[in-house]
Amino acid sequence: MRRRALRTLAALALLVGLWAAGAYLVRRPFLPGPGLVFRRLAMRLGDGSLVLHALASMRRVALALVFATPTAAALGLAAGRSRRIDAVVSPFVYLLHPLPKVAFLPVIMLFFGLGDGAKVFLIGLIIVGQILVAARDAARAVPEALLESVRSLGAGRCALFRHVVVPATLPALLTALRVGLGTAIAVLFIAETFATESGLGWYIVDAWSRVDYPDMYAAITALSVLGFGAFALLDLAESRLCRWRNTD
Amino acid sequence: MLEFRGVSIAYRGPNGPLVAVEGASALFREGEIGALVGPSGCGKTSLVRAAAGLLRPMAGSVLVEGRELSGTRARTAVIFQDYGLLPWKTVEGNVALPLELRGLGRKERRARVQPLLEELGLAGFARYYPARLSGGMRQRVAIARALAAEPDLLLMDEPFSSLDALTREGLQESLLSVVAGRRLSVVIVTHSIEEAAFLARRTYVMGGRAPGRITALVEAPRADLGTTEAEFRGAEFRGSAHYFELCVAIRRALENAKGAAR
Repeated sequence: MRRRALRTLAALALLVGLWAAGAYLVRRPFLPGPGLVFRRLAMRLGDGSLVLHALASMRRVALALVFATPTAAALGLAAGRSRRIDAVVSPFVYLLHPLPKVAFLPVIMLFFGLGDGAKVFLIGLIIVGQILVAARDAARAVPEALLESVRSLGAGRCALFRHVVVPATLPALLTALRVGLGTAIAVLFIAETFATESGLGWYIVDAWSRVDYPDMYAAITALSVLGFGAFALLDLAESRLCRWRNTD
Repeated sequence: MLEFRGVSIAYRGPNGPLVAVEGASALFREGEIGALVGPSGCGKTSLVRAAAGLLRPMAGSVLVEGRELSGTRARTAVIFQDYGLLPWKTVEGNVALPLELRGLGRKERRARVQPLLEELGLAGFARYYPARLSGGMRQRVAIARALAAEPDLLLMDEPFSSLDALTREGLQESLLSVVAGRRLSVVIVTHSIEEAAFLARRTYVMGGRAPGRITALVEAPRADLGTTEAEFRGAEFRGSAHYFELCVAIRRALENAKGAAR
């Protein structure tokens, strides 16, 4: 764990170093060096302006996750374990999953208005698809022998889900959540460039139009840190919830 | 006590039903270890699954403690060759699972599980996950879990066949001593002649394939009066003439079954 943290830190140092070298070589205003950007980031965090935008972004992603994850996981697991539910759910998934949902943003905004509802819905929609498919496939892959052995102990459907299906699929669910989160943050950026004056996405585009590049980079850095923080949080959750997989 | 009365078992196949077992009748008496021996594919596992109530026979009936079976039963425990343990539960969690399913509280579960772990030599491993245990230890956990349910019938499907010879013998001896202190009927399915000869009082021999049949019964001599089953079948039993004769008798029955199937 500690070794991994050290390696990640080394990779970060290398990336920042490359950025600094690039900035030094290019010498153009649209690529400010990391020192300048980090100072600006500290300033914006200090005066609170970027904090508010970051909180607005986090709130949208968090709301989408809170609504989408349990629904999608429950539906996916049910479909994976029940042929009848699968027969209803899978055709819809098959048709709807490949659709570029971002393209529906205008339609969603017409229905949900210009507020946060539309953004949360769009992000949620994308997460639902990814988690549902992963949950269904993982639930299908639970070894029948394992289910049978617990069934022979007298476990009913509920107990089987609780003691076998959910823990068996948890690693796959967390991986899906990680992938979904990456997409969610990308979609968040796009969603925040429309009809809002809050959020890091809006701040980035706004700084861009103000030709304030250090500000723009500061917000991009903040959004990246947000994404990384969410990843790290999921890692922590996984090592806590799936302790049995730690082989060391 | 477990009895098969003319049990036939069929599975759905691509070309209509596939009969795995036909007309199997056998009696496993209370407090005894009985064995079902036969080559792979003879339908042994299907009979165990029927005895566990995990599948319904096409014809005939399965009686446990004199009553016809209809589904799984709280006091029947099953041990499979592998996959029996939940990888995400510790040794203690796995052994406590049958109690948890019955809604017992944490304290009560711990109180019942602790002596079982000690009995099977697992006391120091309560917090380990199965992945960190050897195959032999895992099957000890499986036995402890089966016993936690306080069964009167214990079904074992090839429980020791993926273990090395010495570990297997150790576990067979543990099984004998576990059974010695309890009112428990055990049915062990195996393809090992030696295992059946060492453990079982009555060995049913199976042969044929789709459908498989029970073709013979080989009975072991009674233990001398005054000695328990575990004492009689101790480590020395493996070197005794009784054991050797039993192996020969089972082998002959298996060869006859093969000949009859042709």
